[in-house]
Parts: sequence; structure tokens; C-alpha cells
Amino acid sequence: MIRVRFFATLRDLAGRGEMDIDVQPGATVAELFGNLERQFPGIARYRPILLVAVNEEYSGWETQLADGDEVAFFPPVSGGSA
Amino acid sequence: MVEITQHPIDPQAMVAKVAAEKAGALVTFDGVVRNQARGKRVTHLFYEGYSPMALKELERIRQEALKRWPGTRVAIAHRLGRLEIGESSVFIAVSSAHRAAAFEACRHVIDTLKTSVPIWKKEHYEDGETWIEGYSQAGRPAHSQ
Repeated sequence: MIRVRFFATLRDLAGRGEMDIDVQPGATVAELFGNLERQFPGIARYRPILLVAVNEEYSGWETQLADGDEVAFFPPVSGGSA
Repeated sequence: MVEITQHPIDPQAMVAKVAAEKAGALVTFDGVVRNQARGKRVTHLFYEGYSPMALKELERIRQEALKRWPGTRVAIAHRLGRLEIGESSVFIAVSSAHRAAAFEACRHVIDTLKTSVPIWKKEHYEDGETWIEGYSQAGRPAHSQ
């Protein structure tokens, strides 16, 4: 089981901030996102700019996932101020 | 020395965190909510964060500054939730023996924070709202809605 988290625009597009999903052992972040795109088609156009974190660390699309991982997808950050 | 909070940031408490007798320079950066953006009147902002990761990133940035400017002390706070015009969203305090290191470290912290800490700002206007997206890591302007 993988815990998926969405933030900001992505949360709005998916209509939820988190969910649990089963993936094949050794599946990559990219494969997980492919599954999510089928479930939430609105998020697909964001893929080119999305950032990915696995277990609260920035990660890449080819990272292999293990049971219990938390994977977060989010747009480029916009904290701070002027 | 790093904090993500839902409550107003207390500047004096932040300054107290970096106070040191050998420090002759104290530099602070106070990021304040302004009443306009992109030519529109802003009524208020909402900040959302991935808090546990945001805390880790703030600490990473702090450690990087301490290493690059030895002898400095650095405290960083970022607020989440609804913020009104004039309130502080982010506050950075840096002390050091001399001013150059304090100015440079403070500038580095805010510039890095804006590109790597997982926090997002939603601008609310009189007639709607929009998530603001930063710049993608490739340095190109991000997709806008």
C-alpha cells in the first residue's frame, strides 16, 4: 500500500488530499502517476511541471516504490513572500 | 530554530532566538502580505503546506546557511492558513559578528526557501481566487491556470 498526497492545485483537481493505493512491487513513481492519471484525468496536464517527494524527500519519476511509502505530488512551490 | 505555524509570528521572539553577545549584526526579513498582485486587488491569502517535509527543508536550508557563513545564528518561521493584508507570512532572523555575513545569509535563506520548501499560496480577490505556482526546477515559468 502506498500513501499518495496531493497539494494545492493538484489537490483541487483530484478532489482529495490523500489516498491509499496498491501498486505492483517495484513500481516506479511514474507508473504510480500513470494509475492516478487514469483515475483523475485532470491532473495529467500538470505532469511536466510537477515535483515529487517520496517519504518527505524530493525524488524522481524513476524511483522504485516499496510498501508503506508516502508519495507526494505538487506544483512548483510558492511560499515566502515578495 | 525552524517553525511552521498556524499562528501569528512574533518578531521579537524570532530575534531573541538568534541573540548572542558576540553578534554585532542582526538582520531580519519579514515577508508581508500585500494588497495587490498581478494587477488585482488581493483581499487575503491562504497558505497550504506539506508540514513535515516543509520543516525538514527549512532545517536543511538553515544548516546550509550555518555551514556557508560560519558563526551565524539563523531562525526561520513560516505561517500557514489564512493571512490578512499586512500580516507576516515568513520571518527570518540572522545574527553574526559582522554585517556582511548576516545580510548574505538572510538573502540566501529567503531565496532558497521560495524554490524548495513545499508551501503554496492561494490569492483571494474580490471576484475569485487562484493558486500561485512558483517556477519549475527547469527555471521556466510554471503552468498557470
